[in-house]
Amino acid sequence: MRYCKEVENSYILAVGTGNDGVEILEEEYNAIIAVIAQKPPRTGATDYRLKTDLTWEEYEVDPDPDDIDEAEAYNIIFGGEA
Amino acid sequence: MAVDKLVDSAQLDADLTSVANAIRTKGGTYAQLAFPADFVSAINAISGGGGSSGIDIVEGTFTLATATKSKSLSIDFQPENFVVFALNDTFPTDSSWKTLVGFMPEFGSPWWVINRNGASSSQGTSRAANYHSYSDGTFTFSFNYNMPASVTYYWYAWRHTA
Repeated sequence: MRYCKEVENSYILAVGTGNDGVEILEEEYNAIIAVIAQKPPRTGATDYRLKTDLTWEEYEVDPDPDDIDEAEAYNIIFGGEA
Repeated sequence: MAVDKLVDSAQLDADLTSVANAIRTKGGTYAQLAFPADFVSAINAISGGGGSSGIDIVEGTFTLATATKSKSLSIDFQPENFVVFALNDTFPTDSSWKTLVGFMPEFGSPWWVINRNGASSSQGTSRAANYHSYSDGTFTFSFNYNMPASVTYYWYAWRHTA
């Protein structure tokens, strides 16, 4: 299985399996997944992005009037109210 | 060119569209086909029948570090079918997996769906997936809400081969 990560500038956007991004070892994949699982929750306009050194950086999200919060999106995906 | 037949143009358009859809499905493409040259080219590009047939499948997963509305995936061919679904951490004990997006050419056009409480929402419905594109081996799809981070998404794409 090919493990991969998607990096933009100095931030990790995603990890996965398949043909995307830069190939990484399974050990690195597991390490990044473990960090993502501990992502600090977004609060209001403040969210966190993952740096390539596997630390979280706080940043201000651009306002989007059509956006919904992460909890609501999660509920849509997993059967909550749309 | 002599004009010697009366034609129901609506019926003719419908018939040509059905032929074009069949060509697109067989050829694994959503390209616009202009009659007649593109029809001829597309048909000639399809391998002949009678030989062995198979299926190309690519699959993968992704876990977002940061929520995003758009994701690109590397697919080396124009897929006939495509689906992305998500699992939560407790799968399979509560069967909490949901199809996020998908399309099937036999529906006549790319068809998107999000299952909510077992119900399906088609393209154009509020908060449904609303965009896709394919070029140069990259398939991109977008939602009008952020896909949550820390969720593992699974995807499959496939096409039939002649």
